[in-house]
Amino acid sequence: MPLLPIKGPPARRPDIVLIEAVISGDPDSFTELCRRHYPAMVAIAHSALGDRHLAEDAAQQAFAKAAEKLPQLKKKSQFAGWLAAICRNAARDIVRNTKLLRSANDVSMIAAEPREESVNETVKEALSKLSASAREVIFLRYYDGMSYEQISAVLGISEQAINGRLRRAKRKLADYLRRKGFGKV
Amino acid sequence: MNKQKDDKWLDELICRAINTTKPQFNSEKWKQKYHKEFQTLVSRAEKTSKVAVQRFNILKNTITKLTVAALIILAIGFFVAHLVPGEKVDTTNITTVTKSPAELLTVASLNMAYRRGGIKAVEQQCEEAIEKLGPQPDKITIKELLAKSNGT
Repeated sequence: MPLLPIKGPPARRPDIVLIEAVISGDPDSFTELCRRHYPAMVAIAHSALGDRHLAEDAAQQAFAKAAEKLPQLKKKSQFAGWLAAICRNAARDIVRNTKLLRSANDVSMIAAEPREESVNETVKEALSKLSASAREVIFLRYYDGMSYEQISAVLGISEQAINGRLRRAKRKLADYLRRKGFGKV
Repeated sequence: MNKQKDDKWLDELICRAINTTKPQFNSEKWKQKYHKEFQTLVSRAEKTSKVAVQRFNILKNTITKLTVAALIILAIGFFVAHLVPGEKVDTTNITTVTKSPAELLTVASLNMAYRRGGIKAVEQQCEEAIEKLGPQPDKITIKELLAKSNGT
């Protein structure tokens, strides 16, 4: 039986190839990079802002900044990490400009009974109690279902460190929820 | 087992709380919203192509092209001659067999001229090539010039 050629999706060009193409004058390669990193950047911004729409704005702002500064990027292999840093700054700027307050005072909003809405709110509060770096890992992992390898490329830390950070963050979340009366965890 | 169940429940809670639907990047909207930044990318493309055109235009100039070619040929000739200084070639029987200007300016013939009579012979040969080529109109095409240089 003759072997048929396997038809699959077109080969994914590595980031570094796309970056070189952008620098030598191919704007379409930049939109490809944006498409590729958009979910991760939204996740990072969302972890800082706590709002999906603002997070999308921050990610888009980050891409705009990256479009201008890309030729200045020295280590092209660290593009994802560089972009994540720009995105964090964009999120910080949004917080500063919109005076977005995500303080612990919101805890008073929680209802006594663990209804669906209050569960979500409590989880959100629990997330807001985490450190920024722990929250980022949680968002990247659950938002886009990114692998440890992909998270490692974005955050610039080892997969072991990500695993540890994720486990500690989940333990803290579980403790917080338990204290708030959600018995299962 | 309980720990696994708890983990799963926690995973579900987190997913529900942070709205994990994958965001889609809308490039057209982004281009409209960040028009200036997108133009930076586009102008970079134009800049790159302009540089390429400029380089091409420099080489398009016939005089520059001939000068560069002559210089390269001379440099190679001298380099070859100096590379084998001890080697003496009996040049008494060498007769000029090259005819066209292009043939007169080849590395081999310039090298032979140098061995025959030093730098003066090279100069003579270059002059001979220019004489043979004769005066050319300003608007001559490269194709025509090459054809004339080859004696065709």
